[in-house]
Amino acid sequence: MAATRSSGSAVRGALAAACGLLGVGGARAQATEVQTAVLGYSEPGRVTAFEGIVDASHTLLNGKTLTGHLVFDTLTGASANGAVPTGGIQTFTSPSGESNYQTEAGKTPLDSTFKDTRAALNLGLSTPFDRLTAWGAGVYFSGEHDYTSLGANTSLTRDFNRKNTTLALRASYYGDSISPVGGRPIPFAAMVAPDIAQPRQNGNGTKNTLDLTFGLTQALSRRTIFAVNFTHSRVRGYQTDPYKVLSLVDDVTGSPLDYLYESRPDARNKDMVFATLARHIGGDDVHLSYRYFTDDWGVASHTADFRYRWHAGSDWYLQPHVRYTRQTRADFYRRFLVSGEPLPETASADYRLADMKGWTAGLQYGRRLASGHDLTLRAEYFRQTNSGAGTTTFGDLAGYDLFPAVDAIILQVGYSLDLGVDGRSG
Amino acid sequence: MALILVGLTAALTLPGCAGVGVKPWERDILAAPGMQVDPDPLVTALDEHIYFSKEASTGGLGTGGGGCGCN
Amino acid sequence: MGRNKWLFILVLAILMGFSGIVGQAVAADGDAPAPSAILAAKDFHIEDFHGQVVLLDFWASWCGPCKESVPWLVKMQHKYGSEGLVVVPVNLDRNSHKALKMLQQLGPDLTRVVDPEGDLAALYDLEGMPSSFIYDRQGKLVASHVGFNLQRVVEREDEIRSILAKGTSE
Repeated sequence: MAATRSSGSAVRGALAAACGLLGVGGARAQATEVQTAVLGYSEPGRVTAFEGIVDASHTLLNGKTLTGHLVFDTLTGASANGAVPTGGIQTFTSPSGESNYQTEAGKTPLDSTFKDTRAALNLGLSTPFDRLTAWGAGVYFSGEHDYTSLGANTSLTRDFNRKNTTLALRASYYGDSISPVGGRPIPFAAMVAPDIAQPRQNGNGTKNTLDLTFGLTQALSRRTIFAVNFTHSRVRGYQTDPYKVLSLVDDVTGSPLDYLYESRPDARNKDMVFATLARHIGGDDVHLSYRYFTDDWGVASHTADFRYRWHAGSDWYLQPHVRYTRQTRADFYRRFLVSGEPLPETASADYRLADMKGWTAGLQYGRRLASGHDLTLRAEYFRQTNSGAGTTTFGDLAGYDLFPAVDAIILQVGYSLDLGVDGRSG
Repeated sequence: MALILVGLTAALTLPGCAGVGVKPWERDILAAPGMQVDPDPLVTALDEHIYFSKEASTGGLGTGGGGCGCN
Repeated sequence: MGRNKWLFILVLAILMGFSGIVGQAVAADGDAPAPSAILAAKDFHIEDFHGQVVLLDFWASWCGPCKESVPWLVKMQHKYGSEGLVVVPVNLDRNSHKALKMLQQLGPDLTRVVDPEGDLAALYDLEGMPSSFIYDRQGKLVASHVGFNLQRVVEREDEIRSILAKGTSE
């Protein structure tokens, strides 16, 4: 879980967007801004996570801006291990190979043996060349017990048309080292009982990611701004989730005969386009965004996001939010493998790679306090459903929900301080 | 890759549309915090982390620009 | 209690003065306006300042670097006012009320102008915010700047000094 959970170039991209690229100029010299947030995430009956972020930005006298972004998160609970439910109790060996855990009859197998804590740090420096051009560079580090990532990024931003148009180029590179608990499983090896020799391959997994982004921001009118960006991402190396298995089921009864460790391709090319439109209507702000994603694993998705910031009072707002996403499955996604059929080169039963729809609905409240600092409160509900398209069930399998919906609740509290020039507030 | 070429073409022609936009002294609304392309970067970062853990397709976020256009 | 009473009177006085902002012509033709008044854009004429060096500075309350420039503008007026420098900050907020706090910070010694319609800004066809223009004693435009950087205030001040030093008109 940890490996795929935190290996996102997406995460790093998000972090870079959050603190690396300010518009050219415009930052007040010697001003310091600090933002913090704490988030709680809970899937009832499954995973619970807490995350804390501190984000700081300081502009020097010479116009250079330093940014830092520190994240801590901790994850506990149970996550689906990829196996299918069946009529009897199932026993799985834990990733360490030293113990086992069980799943009741009829239940989706969940691995609850992990607890994960991660820390990540992102540092950036933005340097203006002149009024219209800025150059940025940053480094990234993240570490948890089974995953380490180091990265660097650089960017170039230029304004045109009296700053109505901004073009940006960014390149990021990450090198990851994956050292799963108990070692990396041999692809499609069958799970064995604990305390005997486990089917593991030698060494840590390594993975390299290169992201290239080209972005355009355009002020369309006094009330409207538009931004679009294109990203190409290239990932090479170990992308298998070492903690996930597929059930090898009997071709007649559908009962599991074995659990085989999954295996994913070692190359992935992704392309995405992300567009946002923000418009000020009747004193309120409306944000609409859309992202299209496609990769050579067969995954394609559309995601739409809508936020309406209702400035109900002079110093507070309420912002309802809706997000919808629809994803088509990876080519190598299999809910289970069938005994007697030839083994594919790559396969995974990770529900994250399946046909899926996700809905999020939430409300955010923001307030400018008397101190001049900002408070943000957010609550969201997320529901993900997998249709099971492309999977033919038979025998016992037809009697179980192989694609349960996942619900989650998200709560967040955020606080930001504008320490102003020379550290003075306001 | 094709997407990037399309984007590059579009973007290279757009700066030529010098009429599109707003006068520098009329950026009061665009300067407001709620009208930034991403008004809540921390929310975006936290959400991307969540969705990254739940979905196979994430990434491709913002690149700056907009705002008051000052300096 | 006594102190609160004076504070109240002061605020009232400021508000009364401020309520006369838009559309109030204060200067008689050919005379430099009284320094404590706030001028409407249409009543600002560069010719009125012949013989003095004018630093015309366009700003708005929503502009971060403009906020940074306020103490510097005040400092320049106090330091070089006796040598003939007239700092003219022109506010471009569409609603002048939003600029009240910064107008007060700029203070009565500067020749404050409000241009909510953006007429002066359009006339000068500003390239960015803030923008400043310096006129020498002969009324000729001799310098302009876009943006404000604390890093460059020494150069800006040297420039003002050299324009002031060019002497009065013949």
